[in-house]
This record gives sequence, structure tokens and C-alpha cells, in this order.
Amino acid sequence: MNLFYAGLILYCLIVSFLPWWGMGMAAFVFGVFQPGDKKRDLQLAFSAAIAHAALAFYKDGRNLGLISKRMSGLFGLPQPELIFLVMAVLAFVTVWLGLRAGKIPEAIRKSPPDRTEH
Amino acid sequence: MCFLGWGVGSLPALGPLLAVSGGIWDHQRVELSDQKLPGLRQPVTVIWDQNRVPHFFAEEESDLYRAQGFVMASQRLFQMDVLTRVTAGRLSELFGEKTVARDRFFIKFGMRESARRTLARYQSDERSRSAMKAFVEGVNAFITSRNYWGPEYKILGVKPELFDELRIIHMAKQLTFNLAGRSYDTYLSKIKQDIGVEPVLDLFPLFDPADLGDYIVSSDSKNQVHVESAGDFPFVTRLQNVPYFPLPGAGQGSNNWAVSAKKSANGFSIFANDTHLSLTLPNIWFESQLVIPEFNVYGASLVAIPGLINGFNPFIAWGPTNGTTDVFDFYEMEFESASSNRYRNGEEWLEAEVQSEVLKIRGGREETLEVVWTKKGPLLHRENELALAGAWIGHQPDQELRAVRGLYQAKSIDECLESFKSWAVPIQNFICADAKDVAIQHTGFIPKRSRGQGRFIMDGRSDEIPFPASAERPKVVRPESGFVLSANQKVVGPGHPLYLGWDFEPPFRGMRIRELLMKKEKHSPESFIEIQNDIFNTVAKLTLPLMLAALDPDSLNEQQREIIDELRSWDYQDRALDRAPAVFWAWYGRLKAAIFGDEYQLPAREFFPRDPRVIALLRNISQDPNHRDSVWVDDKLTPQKESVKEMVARAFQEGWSRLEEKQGKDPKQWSFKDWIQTRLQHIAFFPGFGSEVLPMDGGYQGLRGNKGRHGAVYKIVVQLGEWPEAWIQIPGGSTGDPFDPDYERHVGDWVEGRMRKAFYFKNIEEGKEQAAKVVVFSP
Repeated sequence: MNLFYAGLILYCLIVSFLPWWGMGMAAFVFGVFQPGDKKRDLQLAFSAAIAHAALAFYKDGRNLGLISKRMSGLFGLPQPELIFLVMAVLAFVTVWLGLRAGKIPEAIRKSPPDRTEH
Repeated sequence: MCFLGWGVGSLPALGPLLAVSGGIWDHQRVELSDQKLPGLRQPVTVIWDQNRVPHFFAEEESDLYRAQGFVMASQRLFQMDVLTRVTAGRLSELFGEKTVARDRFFIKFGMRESARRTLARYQSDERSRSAMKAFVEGVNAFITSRNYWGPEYKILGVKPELFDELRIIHMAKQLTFNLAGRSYDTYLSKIKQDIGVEPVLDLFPLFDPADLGDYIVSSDSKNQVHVESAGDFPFVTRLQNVPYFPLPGAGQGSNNWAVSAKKSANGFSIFANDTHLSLTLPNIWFESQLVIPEFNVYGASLVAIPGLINGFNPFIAWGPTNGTTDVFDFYEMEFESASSNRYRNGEEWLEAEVQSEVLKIRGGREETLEVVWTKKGPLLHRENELALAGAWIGHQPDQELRAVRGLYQAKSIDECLESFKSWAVPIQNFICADAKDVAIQHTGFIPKRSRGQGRFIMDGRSDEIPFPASAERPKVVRPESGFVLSANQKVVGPGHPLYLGWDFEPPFRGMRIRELLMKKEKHSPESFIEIQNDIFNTVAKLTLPLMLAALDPDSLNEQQREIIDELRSWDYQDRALDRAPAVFWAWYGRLKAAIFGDEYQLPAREFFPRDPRVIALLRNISQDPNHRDSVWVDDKLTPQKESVKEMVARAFQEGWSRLEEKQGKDPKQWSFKDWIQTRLQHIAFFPGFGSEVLPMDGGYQGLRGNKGRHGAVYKIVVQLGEWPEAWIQIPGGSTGDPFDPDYERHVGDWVEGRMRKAFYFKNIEEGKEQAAKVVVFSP
């Protein structure tokens, strides 16, 4: 659970200071230096999803809900609230992929050398 | 599908767009405050009233337009950007492939060159030149003062480019084309190829039957000057594959009328105007008051154009309806060979002027297009050594900005009419009203035509120049009746020597306004507003009894009989929540298709005779089943001969099916609202950025002008007097920001037909007393 809250805080900091591609990049870097299991990555991705949707919801509230109303129409969503689900899914997928991709260098490093004799 | 950094097709790039930091969620509304505005000579005060309408107070005229440009851009930049790209053929730079065909048409039609020539003409007038320059600099001051310009730019992932004066011209061209770009010459030529000349003249007559005629300028209708016969149209085009061009269709209209002092309850003239244009958010009009020491005017500007177009000053009110006179002709041109640019012009061969223009398309693709100008106009289509040239008066404007500027200081209807001397395009029916008198004038470059011209594609081999100007401007000044009116109907009757074309809007709105004006001895602003909100369906009154009489009730099921009973007792009011108008319009629409759909092949769209001709046909057949009009009733695609009863029944069943498709199987749930689907669409058709479907009363030929996607986007009533009072309604707020609560301001009132009182300030002090917000721009 602590990881979840840490993920929330970390995520909010990252998206506040980095450009839009920052969350994917940060997840990748985190995955490289702090490789974890699937369960941990899922927790972090889930916290990112919640944070992403919550921040959007907060900013939409400051705009009287008009951004979600219009943007949901733009994407053909039947309800304005569904745009926050889209936001959550976007963050979840991005962070999840970033974290999992971050494990690839380690996996390559650990893979056994090719012993095929020519 | 797009995902992060790249948009695909029309879809935006989700990554930058939906980022919670720096993305769409960080949207900030424009909040203007006291600031410096480069280029100003003296401070300009802008007062926003309780209706959120800006009032500009300046000491110098150029300062006024500079501030107007800045404020208009702050509210409507994206709209200005889009609309000024239409005739420039530059929409594809923003929207990609889907607008390429339209861009290609406007470029090939010479609109870019036309705009350049028009700009040079406008700039020859010092006052117009200075106004445009200051306005553009104001717009650009806004663009350069920010790095976020609204959600549409964010969604498209583009930045606005700086404006120039050509943008103003292209806005005027766009509106001119919309209003005066209508022509059915190529359609009629195709129909003529299918069925011959005489049937075309029968189905599309020059004038409506006498009892269905309503003319802006009355004339002796007994002595018909213009009687056409097949011999007037000997030329047969050899062009075989003329495509359909994206020309504006019929159905565009506006109303204006005015009563003089003698027909006004308080002894001062009253003026009303509602302009019917595409229903968009934001609205094409930008309401404001402009004040300098020389003038004080209130009304509506067109976005991207400095000054006001429609409105009033302390002495007069003015406003237009579209003139609808035919100003677009087509000529078949003959070239020396398929590859030559030398064309026949009388006895000689002339070299066409060829220009290259580049069409840029979002994503980096470019097309180089050749624009070929002949003396008849630019080429729109070519078939080997033959070609089609379009002659359009919109390419020949005069000094419209100067004309409008003259109105700001006009004090009488005579001065008002005098101002319009330099107005050429688009031809409009302008009403002028001062405190005592009223006048209406068919204003603009009226083409002088002879019989047989402007009906079909014409022979372009002669050396005649299209559209010699007529000096005549049909008008009514200080009428005995005490009122003037127009509703895009025919300007003059068959007894008038001037030939203006055949295709005007049906006379029903004009007839209804005339009836309502004559019904009362004296009028007031309240009675004018009632007229504007009238939803009487004249077409139904004239046709429904004939349709009902021809319908056999035994051929109907129980649900259908129930609705027929409802139609029998219907009061012809097009109410949004009633189903009777929905059933009528569905039935009537299919009846036209059933009668005329088999006569000729026009794949592009249904192009049928106009309503007065349809009504005459129904009357003729109902009185005499063997009338010669019965030839049209028969369905030529079947071996048997159909009667009008069969066609009426077929149309009813087809209309019923349409309603089921559109509104479901339960007729109790049907409504006119869901049939006509009135909504204000976003200027670039972004889904979700327009309004919902609105429960708007009024139908296609009614005074409210509700046509679903088209309607009365600007309504005004002015009571002239010692100090004018005005009531106005414009659906949509001053702001064009879709994320601003004011974006859909006034839409609800507009739907309900409520007008709001305009704040017409005598001076800046009065304005400040009633201000909601004051902003001072300083040098």
C-alpha cells in the first residue's frame, strides 16, 4: 500500500515538472534502476492511473467541467466522466510499459552467452 | 489509430493533448486586463456590459480598429483563422486531406488572385486601408502576446500564423461566395440534356404563379416582359462530364422589414432584421458598440472584418437580406487544341492567363495547381479542347468597407442609400430606416442581362464580356403603405424590365411578413418580435389539404390514421415538440421526390422544382386529373401510369419509413425537433464542440428561418426615436472558447425566442456606470 501512495506522490511530481513524455521515460528509468516484479509494477501503474485521472478531474473542476464535456464529445464518448477513465488507462498503460521496458536491459545482461559453435 | 506523439488522420496526438501538465487540462481562458497595445496613439477603453458585449471608446478611428482587432482575436481567433482560409484554399493546411477537394475548387476558381485584386482596390481608399492595417496589427498583437491560443489549436497541434490584410478580404470573399455563389446553370444544362428545353422552362419557371408571387418592389404583373421560349436557348453544350462543384445551395435566407413613423405606435420608425446563416458556435457575428468623436454605432461585425456591417447609429438603422440575384454564369470555352491555352474570343484567339498556386496539405504534401483565366472567368473544368469557365460577380467588388463606413455617420434614409453607391457584392436588399421614413434597395452590382442569358451553360466563343452593369437599383423609398420588407424573394415582378434570374427563395416568408404587417394598423417592437418568432407553415397551409384529399385512408394502418386525424386538425404551427410538422415535412419531401425523382438523373443531390411550382402542380392536378402537369406525376420507371393519389400514398409510406428510421418505430415518440435536428455546430465541426439538439420551434419556410443547420443567427429590432432602443439576440457568446461557460451564452434565450435589450451607451460615462468590466488599452 505504501508503494501505491509513494507512486501517487512521485507521479504528481513527475507530471508537474516533465513534459508529456516524462511519465513513460521516468517509468522506464525507474524500471532500469529499480527492477521489480509484476505485482509492484502493477501497483505503480495503478497509482499513476489514479493520479493522472485525479489531476485531470481537479483541473477540469477548475474549468466547471467543460473540458471533460467537450473532450468526451471529441472522442465520441457517451459520458463526459469516461474521459477520466481514458486518462487513467493512458497513464496505466504508459507507466506499465515503461516499467516493464525498464527490465529489458537487465534481462539482456543476465541472458546466458551464446555457446553455439560454428 | 494514434497514441502518443503523433496524430493520425483527423485524430489528435493523445500524448501532448491529454497531458495533465501542459496539455488540454491546463487550458486558460483569456482574461483581458489593462495593458499596453503597441501602435495605439491614445488610450482606448473597452467596456463589457451585463450581456458580455464589448463597447469600444476611442479618440481616433485607427485606434478603435486596432483595439477591435485585438479584442476580437482574443475571443475568436480560431474562428477567424478557419473562415479566412476557406476561399484562400488553405483549410487543408489545418485539416488535411478531407478539405483538399474544396481547397482545390477555390484555388482553381481564382479566389487567391481575386482577393489580391480586391485588396488593391480596397487599399486605394485611404480610410479603408488604414482601418484594415490597424485591425490586422491588433490581431497580431494578440497572437504574439501569448503562447497558448485556445483548445482547437492544441488539438490540431498547430500555432496560428500572423494575419495580414488578405485575411480580411478572404473573410469577405467567403461570405460573398456563401451568399452569391449559388448557381444551377450546370444542373439545368444536364436536365436539359435529359428532357429538353421546354420541360425545364415548365418545371423551373422565371416567375411563380400570380397568387404565389411576392415581390420586394411591386410592378405591373399583367404586362409580362419576360416570357421565355425554347427558341431563346439555341446553344447546346458539348461538355459531357461537368462535375458538381461545392456551390452553396438554396434555402439560405434572411428577413428584414421596417415600418415608418405613420405605422408605428410611438410615432417613430421601427426596423427588424434577422440574418439566416449557418448555425455555428461561435457565431459568425460579433456584437459590439464602436464610438469615436465622429460616430457612435452599435450592431454586429463579421469576424475578421473591421468595423460593423449591420446595426444602427443615433439616427438610422440598416440591415440586409441576401439579394439572391443570379450573378454566377457558366460558359463553354473553345480552345485551339486539348493542350493549348489559346481560346476563341469572337473572331480572334486569345492566350489565357495562367497562374501557378500551391495547395499545401497537412503532413507536408503539396500540389501545384494551374489557374487559367479567360475573359469570361477562370476555368473550372476541361474536356480536351473544350472547357467550362465560371463568370462570377464576386470577383469584381467595389468599396464595400467604404460603403459601410458611410453608414456610421448617415442621418437619414437618403444618406443611407447614398452610402451604398460603392457597394457591389454581395448583392443585398438593404433596408434603411430613420426616425420618420423607411426605404429598401436591391443594392450592388446588378448585372444587365438579355433574355436567354444565365439559365444554362452558355456559348463562350463570343467576345461579349459577362455582366455589364445595370445602373438601376430597384428600390422602394417612403412607401405609401408605410412599410418595406424582404425575405430573399424575387425582387421585381414579371412586369419589370430588369431580368435578375429565376432562382430566388420561395415567396412564403415575404407573404407572411406582409400579411402580419398589414394585420395591425400600428406596430411596436413587441409586435415585431412576435413576427420574428412566427412559426406558421405556409407551405403546409397550401399543400396539406390537397395531400390529405388525395390520400385514401383505407390504405393506412391504425397508427397512420391517427396521425392523419392529427394533421387534419393541425393549426400549421411548426412546434418543436409536436409530431404533426415532422410528418408533414417528411411526407411533403417524399412527395416531391416521388413526382420528380424519375424525370432526370442528378446524382449529386435532389434538385427538384421550387415549392411554388410544386404547389401549382398539386392544385392543377387536384382540379383536373388530366391537366398537362399529370405528365410529371406519372412514374416513368414503371410501365403503368400513376395517378396523383398513388404518388401521394407512396410518398406518405416513404415519409413514414423515413420517420421510423430516424425516430424509431413508435410514432408517439416522434417530434419535429428530432426530425429537423436544430443544432449549432462547431465552426470546424469538432464533435462535442457544438450544441446539443435544440428544441427550436419553426420550420423550413417559416419566419424563424429554422432549417436545422441553418437559421436566424442574428436578430435585431430597433425602435428609432430621440435615442434608439434595440433588442437583439445572437446565439452564442462573445467568446469563441469552447471551454468557457459563455461559449453557449444566449442559446437558450434564442431557442425560446427571447430578445435582450441592447446597452447602447450615449457616452463613456454612461457605459462605465453600467459596466460589468472595464479594460483600458494604453499606447
